[in-house]
Amino acid sequence: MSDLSTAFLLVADPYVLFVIAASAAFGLFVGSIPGLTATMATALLVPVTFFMDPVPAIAAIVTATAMAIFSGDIPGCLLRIPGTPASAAYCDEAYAMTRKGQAEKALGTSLIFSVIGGLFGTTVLVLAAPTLANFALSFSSFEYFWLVCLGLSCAVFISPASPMKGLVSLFIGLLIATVGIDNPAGQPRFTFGDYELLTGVPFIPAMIGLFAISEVMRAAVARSTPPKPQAGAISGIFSGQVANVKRYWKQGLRGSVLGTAIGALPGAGADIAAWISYAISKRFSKTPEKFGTGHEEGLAEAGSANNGALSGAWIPALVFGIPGDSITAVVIGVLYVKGMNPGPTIFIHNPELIHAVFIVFFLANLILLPFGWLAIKLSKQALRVPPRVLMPVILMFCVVGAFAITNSMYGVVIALCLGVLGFFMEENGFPVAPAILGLVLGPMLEQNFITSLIKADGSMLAFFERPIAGGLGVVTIALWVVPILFLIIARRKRMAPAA
Amino acid sequence: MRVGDAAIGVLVVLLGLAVAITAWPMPNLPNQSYGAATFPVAIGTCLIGLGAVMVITGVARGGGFTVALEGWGRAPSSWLRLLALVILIVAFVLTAHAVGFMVAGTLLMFGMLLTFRCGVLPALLIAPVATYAVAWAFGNILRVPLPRGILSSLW
Repeated sequence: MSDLSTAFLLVADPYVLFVIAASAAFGLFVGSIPGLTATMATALLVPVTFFMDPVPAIAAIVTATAMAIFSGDIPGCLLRIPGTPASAAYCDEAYAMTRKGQAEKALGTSLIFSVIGGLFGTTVLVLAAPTLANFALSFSSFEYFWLVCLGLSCAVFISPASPMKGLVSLFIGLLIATVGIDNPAGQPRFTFGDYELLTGVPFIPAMIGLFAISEVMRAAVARSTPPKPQAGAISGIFSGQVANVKRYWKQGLRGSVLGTAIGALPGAGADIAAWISYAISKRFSKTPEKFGTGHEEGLAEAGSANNGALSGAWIPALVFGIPGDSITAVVIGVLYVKGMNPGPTIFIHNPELIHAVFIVFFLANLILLPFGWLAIKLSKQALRVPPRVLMPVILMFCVVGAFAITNSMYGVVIALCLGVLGFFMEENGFPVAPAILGLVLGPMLEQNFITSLIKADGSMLAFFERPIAGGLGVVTIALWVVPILFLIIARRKRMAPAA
Repeated sequence: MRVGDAAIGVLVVLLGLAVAITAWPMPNLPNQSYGAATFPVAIGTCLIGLGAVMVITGVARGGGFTVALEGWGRAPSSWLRLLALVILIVAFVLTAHAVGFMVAGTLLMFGMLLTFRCGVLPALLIAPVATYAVAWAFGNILRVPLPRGILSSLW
């Protein structure tokens, strides 16, 4: 039996289909609650996926995130509060449509173009990942070292916060990753005599803390209560959408391409893709004056971009083991737990599982249509769930989820400590995503760095001797040097007239 | 609550110093000049550099050592809720093994509901039901070895 048919059989299992349906409902609910992100949905799902086989576990995450990214548009449209950061770019536009009595048109456009973006991104993932994996088979520790450096650099520079704060966050993540005995010398580091710290900081409780517990803390200190939905009954979601697709096919395609490309960049996710796509849509629009007044053009482009980015982020995650965004950072942890070590060899050792992941991606994006329709219909009920009940329940899930990973209170303590850290970091403008990438990629960076140093006998020139490694090294260094050069030139230009 | 960049920079420098000093004596790999210390020392050094830049830029911009209470930070009740949340989780960690998940979890849930301004009566109803549902799902279906303690026969 071929790998593809085995993969189809794996996905067609009634249990897997049930998991997909349940995680779709979960993702739609989490995404539609303001403040709960797609990453948080993933972090909350992980303890449950821990007890599943690889295919249902991955299917649950893929489906929940695709749904959450779309359903984040619903409160944005009805309340002017984006459900997830990925919907923030066009939240005002969608709300302006609601005020004009076009809520169903806005949500319909958002849904249709989310599906288009998701399917496009998945197609690119299916075509690009195996080709890139073949290419990556010849990579040595030098190439991997530079790839990780490039990924981490992108995470710092693409982050909307100041690069300095992004860097501090990244190094905090790298530092946390050094805890434990799992290092080239097998020496206990920063364990303070605690035997549980010998195993290092468990990744999943850390994620639960940084993303979920910190969010619950934010909700605890918030002083405002969420507003009530504005729109009346929502009906006719799909009416006029065929004409809309015909009218905005170019925008949808451009958003899908850009979203997938941005998603594939390590460190950049759906939120950045949506912001850039919305800006590009306005820049190239024939009617830019309509933007901001309730015009669906930007919605079509940015809506397809954020769902395209979700699939794009899986390309570096599967091929190189380097997460494209914070969601795939969690996924990489899950893949390791499931014995599917991400990297080019996964395509050789587990081809049927990879094909199953691709099928799940297509399925998740296709069922977004009926499930998304249902979510829009039920949106008012979901938005009525009071945060004063929802947040304690989420916290309970965080606590039990963190416990489930280590089967001890150690996981809960880690989640709490990193929750407090994440809360105060975000309060002071330090982005959390670079810390997550540092935590995930720290061991890979150290291993490749030390291995390369030993191979090169300490010579840094050897890091540039192989053509691909050299190219990646130059790009990484340019990413650091060029902005500084531009800054110096700009400062000189400013000072020249003054002199 | 926003802490000035220079003050955070000082903390980052101190963290970097502590990391580098602690890691420095760690042994190398046999017959190599690299080992367990290489990576943490590099991280510590970078943190020191970054912290120093934050101190300099923070001082240059002014107000680098200030602590500004903005938004929620001005309301003592917000601080109390934040503190309550941490205390509740710590209390759960400390007591769960002795009294079991059902009791410690219900108390955690009850405290959390009150922290989020839920009424006492609804909290009294929701806390045991939600805790039981979580205990049943994780303990029974997913076989997570939640601390049994008293009332463990319930799930």
